[in-house]
Amino acid sequence: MPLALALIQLFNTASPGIAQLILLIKKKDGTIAVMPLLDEAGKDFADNISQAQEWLKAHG
Amino acid sequence: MKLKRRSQIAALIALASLLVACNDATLAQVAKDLDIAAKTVGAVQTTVIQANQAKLIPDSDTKLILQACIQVNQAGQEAVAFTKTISQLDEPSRTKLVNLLTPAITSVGNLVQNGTLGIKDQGTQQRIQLLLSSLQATLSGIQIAISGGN
Repeated sequence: MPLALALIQLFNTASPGIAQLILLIKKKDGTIAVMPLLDEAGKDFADNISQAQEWLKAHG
Repeated sequence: MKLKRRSQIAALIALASLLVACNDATLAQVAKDLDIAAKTVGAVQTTVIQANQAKLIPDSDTKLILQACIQVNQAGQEAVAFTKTISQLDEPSRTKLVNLLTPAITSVGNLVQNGTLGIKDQGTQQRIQLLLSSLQATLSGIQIAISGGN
């Protein structure tokens, strides 16, 4: 959300009216949330691998 | 005037990029499901490790389940890394993601069928079976979303 707001402020300064369009895009499909979800998933997958490998190493 | 014009052009280019990045709701669904899958695998692993510590699952079964989980996690990582590079699910992207996830889905399917047979404690067996089934459903859901079933 903070990133989206920063982007909106930037666009509004450069070209008024674009901000409304961006908000519309975000509302329509919420796709702006894709990256944070992928980052979270990537981190969880990595943590899982570490956990599993740690157990396997300890139980050689 | 020149600065204002440049700012307007930059804003338009940025907006065009944003439009391209925001035109695929299926991509959002895939991202959400990958996140759920990651958390579910984590829950499977933690449950299995804790049950092993409590001597409810033998080391051999724990090893099999965790090795399969590593495979799923690695496939998930690759799927995440690839999904970050695309702005929409075109045909080549769908094929790539299906190819990345199919071995993981097969692995989980095998675990659902046979992975908990060595667990003597019924409660533990049922808990792990439920988590594995939930993971299988999530991964299948991603496959369906990628194939355009959503």
